[in-house]
Amino acid sequence: MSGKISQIKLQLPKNKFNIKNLCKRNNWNYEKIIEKTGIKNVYHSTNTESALNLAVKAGAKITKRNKNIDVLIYVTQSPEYHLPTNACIIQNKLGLKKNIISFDINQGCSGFIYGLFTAQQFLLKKTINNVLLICSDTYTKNIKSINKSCLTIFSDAATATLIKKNNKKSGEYIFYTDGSGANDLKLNFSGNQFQKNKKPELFMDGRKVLSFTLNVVPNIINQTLRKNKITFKNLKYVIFHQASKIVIENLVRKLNIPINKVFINYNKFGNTVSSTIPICLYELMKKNKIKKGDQILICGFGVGLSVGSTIIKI
Amino acid sequence: MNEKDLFKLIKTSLKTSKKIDLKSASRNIEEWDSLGQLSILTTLDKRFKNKASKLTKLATAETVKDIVSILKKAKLIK
Repeated sequence: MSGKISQIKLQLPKNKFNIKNLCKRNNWNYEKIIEKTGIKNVYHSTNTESALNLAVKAGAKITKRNKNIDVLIYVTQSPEYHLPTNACIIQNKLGLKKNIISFDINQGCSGFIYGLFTAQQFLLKKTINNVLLICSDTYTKNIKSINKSCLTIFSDAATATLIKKNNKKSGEYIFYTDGSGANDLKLNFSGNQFQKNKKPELFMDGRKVLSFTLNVVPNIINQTLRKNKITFKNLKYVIFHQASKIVIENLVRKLNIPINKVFINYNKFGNTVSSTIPICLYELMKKNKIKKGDQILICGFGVGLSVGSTIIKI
Repeated sequence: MNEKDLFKLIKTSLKTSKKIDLKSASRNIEEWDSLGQLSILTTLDKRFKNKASKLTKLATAETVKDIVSILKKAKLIK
């Protein structure tokens, strides 16, 4: 027994930013930036929009019709509070039953895979039938206005994914963690590193993150294929974390994946951290581009540094 | 590949009109910013058939001299 993705819902913040205008305002070279990132628009949460309330809105799109949730998993690195557990607040706001398991997972770009894996483990239990996995982040709240590399990539969003029990075997997962790269993408002055008069500030060494990705992710993808006894030929799509154009293009090149198998939408939504993969799946479902029985490889990678990868069957 | 070919490759990847030699560095080539560095990394990886991305020190090499040294050590250039 295992679980199957039954529904995905998306909640975007109100503010949509055009990168061209952002570059114009800051006197940045738009052509040069777009050539590398491919990102035309990003979404920024307003002062009244937090990761938590975006998460609640995304979750409500599922729970207004189905309140029978046994496990609520909230993946975020933009918590409303360090305590209480944010998932507990969401449980209350969504009006979910009280005999429910609710907890947060602190993961970023690989967070959806972590959440899905965890959901699958719960669904092996007889008493658990429905898991709600919510991913939400608002990285842009902590990006300085002069931080070109982060401001032109990161975007805010929330997604809610309902995973229901079914009797099929789930795909095998591959995970990878290398904490030696923890400083390459981090929120400075946050948590116990808090400093008086200093706001938390997102930092990314794009060169090191790219180097890690190109070095590690292809091996993880090949391991995922081997462990699931499948080839690119048998897959309907490959969905990578929508980091940026340069990252995805180089992964496709290194892995020699047929380009028609690779789904992208970073150009429209930017890098929404743990929501990029569910947003891709949401679009594929909405546009009827996938049908029952299709197999899709999904791979998230980044902050940690960490990678997670698996095959899902529609 | 020799040093001269490497200079040409770096010049193309940075799309700069400036001459590239052993003295070139991110501090004296305007186009060699963080995006320029990504271009160098991916161009080298393509040229050396996925071997360059395994050289993690390349990611932070901000001078042509350093790039040459790393690639020579890995026996990718003469």
